[in-house]
Amino acid sequence: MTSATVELRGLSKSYGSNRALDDVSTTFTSGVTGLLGPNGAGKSTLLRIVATVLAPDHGTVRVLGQDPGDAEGRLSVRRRLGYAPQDPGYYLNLTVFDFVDYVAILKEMNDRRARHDDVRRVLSSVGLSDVAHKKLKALSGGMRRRVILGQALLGAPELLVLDEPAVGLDPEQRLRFRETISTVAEGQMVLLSTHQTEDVAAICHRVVVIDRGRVRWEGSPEALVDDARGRVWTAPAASPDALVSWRTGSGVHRLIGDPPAGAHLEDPTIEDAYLLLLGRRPDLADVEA
Amino acid sequence: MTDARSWHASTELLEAYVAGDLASAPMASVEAHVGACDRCRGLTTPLADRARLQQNFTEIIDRVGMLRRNPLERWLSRLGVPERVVRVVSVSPADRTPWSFGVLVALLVAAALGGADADGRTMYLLLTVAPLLPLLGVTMSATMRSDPLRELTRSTPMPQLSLIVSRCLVVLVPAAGFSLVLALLVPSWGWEPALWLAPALSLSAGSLALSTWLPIQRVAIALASVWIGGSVIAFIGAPPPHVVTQFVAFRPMGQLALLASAVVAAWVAARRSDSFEMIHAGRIS
Amino acid sequence: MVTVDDDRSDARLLEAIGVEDERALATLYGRHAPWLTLRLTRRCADIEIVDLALQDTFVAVWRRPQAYRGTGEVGAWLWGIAIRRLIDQLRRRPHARYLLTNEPLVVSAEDEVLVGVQHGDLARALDHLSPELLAVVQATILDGLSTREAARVLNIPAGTVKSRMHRARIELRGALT
Repeated sequence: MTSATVELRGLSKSYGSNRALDDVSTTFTSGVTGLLGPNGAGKSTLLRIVATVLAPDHGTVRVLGQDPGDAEGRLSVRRRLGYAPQDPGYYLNLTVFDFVDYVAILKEMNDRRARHDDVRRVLSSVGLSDVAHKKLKALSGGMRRRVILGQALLGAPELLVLDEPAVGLDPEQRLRFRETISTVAEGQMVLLSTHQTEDVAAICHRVVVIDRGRVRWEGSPEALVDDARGRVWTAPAASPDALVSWRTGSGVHRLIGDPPAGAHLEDPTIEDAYLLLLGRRPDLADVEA
Repeated sequence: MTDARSWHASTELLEAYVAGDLASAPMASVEAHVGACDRCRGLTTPLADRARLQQNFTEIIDRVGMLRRNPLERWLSRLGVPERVVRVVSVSPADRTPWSFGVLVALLVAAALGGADADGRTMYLLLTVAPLLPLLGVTMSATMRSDPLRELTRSTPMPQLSLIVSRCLVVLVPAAGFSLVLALLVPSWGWEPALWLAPALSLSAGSLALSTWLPIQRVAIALASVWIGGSVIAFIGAPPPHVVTQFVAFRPMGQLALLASAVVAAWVAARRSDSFEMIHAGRIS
Repeated sequence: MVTVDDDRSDARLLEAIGVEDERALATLYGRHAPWLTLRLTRRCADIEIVDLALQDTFVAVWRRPQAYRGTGEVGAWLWGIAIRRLIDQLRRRPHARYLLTNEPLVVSAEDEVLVGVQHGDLARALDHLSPELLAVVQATILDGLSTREAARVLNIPAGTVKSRMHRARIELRGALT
């Protein structure tokens, strides 16, 4: 279906003097697209706009062929959308089941039986069946993230917008999350943000790198890696010429950019490519393994 | 004792049992055995109607779910309110409790002090304060900050305005009913205990309508100031014992005007309900 | 939803239900609902009433799983609830009747004796009981109802239930020795 796209043209959004998005134009198509960028790059703002929650200051938005600025178009998008905000907030006194059921009601699932079936389905797909009747306040942060992911899957929406869905998940949960997304992506369009390069490498067929409110790069994860080919080195010592460098666990220095004498050329990883693109080392939390 | 059970029911025997073809003794034998034997119990499973079992289980789960509902929800369900509406009004930000509680306390205080309130001053005070509580409630429902689910809610097709209004109504309706009962129970008060309703509706609907242009907090403060100011000015020099009717808002014409303004405001808010749907910088913060 | 891939014992399932584990309820249901349905159907021909009684049974289990004291078969305990729920449902519908199907029955401590008996002496002895005595034996011994409950479903005075039970015991004992 040709309308299964998100098109953004000349998108800008400011919060006071802070420009969250600056003339962003891009198109997302079916499959899993990852928005990669450091914290505060504007990923969440972009996703909020796509999720019809936030209106841009300037620019045009077409989500699934509709204009969210117009009441009818917005309603049409919302009926076909699943959204997992980054910092969603919860009604902590509700059980997991009731919480997701409540969202299902908001999503116009009016038949109780069918709705409950769907709630059970999504809870099972995010591995929360066993805690369905625990209150949200009794859950760990990672479990709550899965609740939010689960509600986004309700009704198998055409478009899934997931803001930092993998934050706070332990490695096992993260693996499970990737499986869930890959399954979902077979029939749905997924747009997710992350600041973790491994997520992108693992599940995204396309990556859009955003930094300081602008699109810096877009293409396949493989192409991103290829761009860094010939620019990643290891050497016994640090070099002032390198764009980014750090000392690895084994004691050698990994250098990105121009090599010092005696450096050894390495195969780049997606993380190397990302760092090269940003031209700086984001804060450590952004490159945690 | 399990060891003693060398005997097990055959499928044929169980089928005959299900068909009702067994005489009393073998039937008793089957029943006594199946109730206690895992293996034979397993054999009965395929003999039962799967779809029916599944349907019964779904029904059980739903009924079990109802057990967790609070009294408000059960009460609304009994009145025939659709289950999804019941869920929406009862599942809401916890901060609804203080103001709904406030309305109730104000009315109870009115009831308790009513006898001693010879010059009508207590009633006047309560009638002035009571309409502010729903205004506060509406403001809190409509501001994004009070609802932890603000973003999520706005990504769904559910109209924001209907969420805000239904949550207010679920408190206003019982409070209104309570006021009317008070008015009927104490004939000497006349309709005084119910006089806060019209201003409450007008202020709440008015704040929603105006909030489609201006930030609702500012609107609410402005409206509350106008209301309190009017009340204070009318009160100064009010001759007892007719304090209450001193304020035009509590006289029949004023009440009618307030109700009319509430209707107009509700219409405006509904017409412009689109402005509740998205977060615009500066508006609903 | 009706799962059987959960190997917890019935008693463990009841514990889990005590902490609102819906899966445990599903497992317990998957194990016991089929035979309970079949057995209830032998007591009441109206499918709707049987379904309601079955639902009532598991809702009751959900509400008070701790009512199971940990002794005896969970299956027998469930039947005790189910038969009472059925009687409750029947009471609400005066036209519906408690069926004494093929006028059967039997057993409890005597259960053990009966298990395995198909054509034995006890079976013959039972078949020789009059329909009135059989009905009382069924309601009290096999269905586990109290004298008063049996009196209600059979629509006879409690004293009659007792005296018929007494006679039935004497006859059974006589036939077996």
